[in-house]
Amino acid sequence: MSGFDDWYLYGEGLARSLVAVAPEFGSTMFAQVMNSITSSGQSGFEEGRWHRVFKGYVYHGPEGGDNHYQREPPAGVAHEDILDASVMLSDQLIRELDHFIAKVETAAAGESVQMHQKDGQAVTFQATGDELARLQALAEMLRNTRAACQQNYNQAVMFRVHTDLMQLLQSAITESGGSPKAIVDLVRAGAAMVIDLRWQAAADARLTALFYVQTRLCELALEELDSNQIGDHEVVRLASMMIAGLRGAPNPEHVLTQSVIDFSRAGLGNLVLNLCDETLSFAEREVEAALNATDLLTHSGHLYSAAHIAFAGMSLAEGFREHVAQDARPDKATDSLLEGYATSAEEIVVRTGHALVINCINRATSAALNLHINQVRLAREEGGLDKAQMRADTLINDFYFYPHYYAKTLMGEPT
Amino acid sequence: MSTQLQVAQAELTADVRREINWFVPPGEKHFVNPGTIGTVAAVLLGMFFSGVLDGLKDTVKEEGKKAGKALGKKIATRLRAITSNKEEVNQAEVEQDAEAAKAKLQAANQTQATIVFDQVEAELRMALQEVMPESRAGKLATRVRHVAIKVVYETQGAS
Repeated sequence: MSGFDDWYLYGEGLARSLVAVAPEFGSTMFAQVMNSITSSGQSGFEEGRWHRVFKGYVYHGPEGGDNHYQREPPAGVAHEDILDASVMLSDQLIRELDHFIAKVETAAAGESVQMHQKDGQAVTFQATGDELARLQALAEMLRNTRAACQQNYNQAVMFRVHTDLMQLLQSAITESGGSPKAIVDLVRAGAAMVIDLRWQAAADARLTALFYVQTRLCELALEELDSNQIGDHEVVRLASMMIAGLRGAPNPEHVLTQSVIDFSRAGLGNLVLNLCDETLSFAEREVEAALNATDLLTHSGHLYSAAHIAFAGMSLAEGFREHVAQDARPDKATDSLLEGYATSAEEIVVRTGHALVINCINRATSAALNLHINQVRLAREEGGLDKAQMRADTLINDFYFYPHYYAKTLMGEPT
Repeated sequence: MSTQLQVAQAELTADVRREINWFVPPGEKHFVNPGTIGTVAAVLLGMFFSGVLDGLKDTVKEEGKKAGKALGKKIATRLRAITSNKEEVNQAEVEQDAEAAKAKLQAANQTQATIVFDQVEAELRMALQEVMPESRAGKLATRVRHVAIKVVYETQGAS
């Protein structure tokens, strides 16, 4: 790292990489990227084996070729022969965060610390003036992120929000007679608490997606009041069930799925479908904004936002499919649409989570960037300019690793 | 491949990339190969040109007559075969259709051309709706038309 700002942004990047999707996902991605960098292109996965990652299964073929990702367990492969990538790749990112927190805390106390520049050279750094206050704030943020990585953290947040909202619910019923708008405002208030945590890197995509979806479903239901598709009582009932469901739930995905099922059973499946569409488009716009960014901070900010929005879209579509499977007659066309929404959203989730790790590592060392420049150079040697451009295009548009303005850098051209 | 068709295909690839999962057969793998995305873009362009050619045959004879063949579920089936690597695209065929459409359009007036473009776009939109949400199908069909027109009129001035 070359200076205070890079160091600060690296810390923020570490925190966001961990919670962009979920801590175990961030850790897996971080370990995979670090292994790629340190072992000249090795992925960190065992070749010729299936690995359990995130919500699916990855097969890594020999020499980095023939890779597959699928949601269903691979046919003909025994359960015990599938490696758990999140366990195998350990908690490297969390250890890196712990190491970094210790450094930041030392520096925030005004003591000198050793830090590395992008060329790997160690320099002594001592914060002064405004830097001290910024480091103290960073240390606090990182400690909150560390707490967000603990097991049962999401359950604890949901319980806290539930407790706060139940008190407000009592007042809303007493003061306004429990109007639909008043109750929906409570759902919004719960979401605001979690969005606040999200921007402090203390809420992962699973938790944020839950409150985002609940708020939008309630808002869409409010709009339906005018068309008489739904009555006041029904909106109040659905919103209250959302608040009540936060208590004792095993995880945010469970509550989200239950909300989707409740809406579908109330005859509001069309709202869920509309929200799938709206959410996927929103996530795509965030990705587009990230790729059109003119600096890496804006790039990572939009990707971070896209991660939880896409997670919401994926969970909505999956939750609705579950409802269809449980309650309704199978409708091939709807099921196919839902699969499309879920798949597209999931790919955005995976890609944004991966790209944020790359963005973060590049803050510290440019090691990932150098690896990618080398990949483009090799592509040029193998297949000329077209092949090199194709590789650079893939790194930007398919993987979201860099904004468009990095194309020349990746091609090794002067910027 | 001619440079103009190459540029058009690359332009459309950016739009197809966002929609590629709708063309993947249910239950098949994620993260479609970037090369396949370009192939789907070529197929969509090829279908548009082919529709324009069929449409022009009709409209030159009788203006306003329903143009183009019904694409229906054929597109969905074909695109799914491509994303499953069960079918390859004949790039030369796409280019031939583009050239032929270009030549035919020289014989057609602006009104005839617009009618055909409208009809082929509508048919493409309906065909895409077989596999993807309506709003997305509409946007993609419009983009295919836009890019195809650029190829056809590159040397003839604006449409």
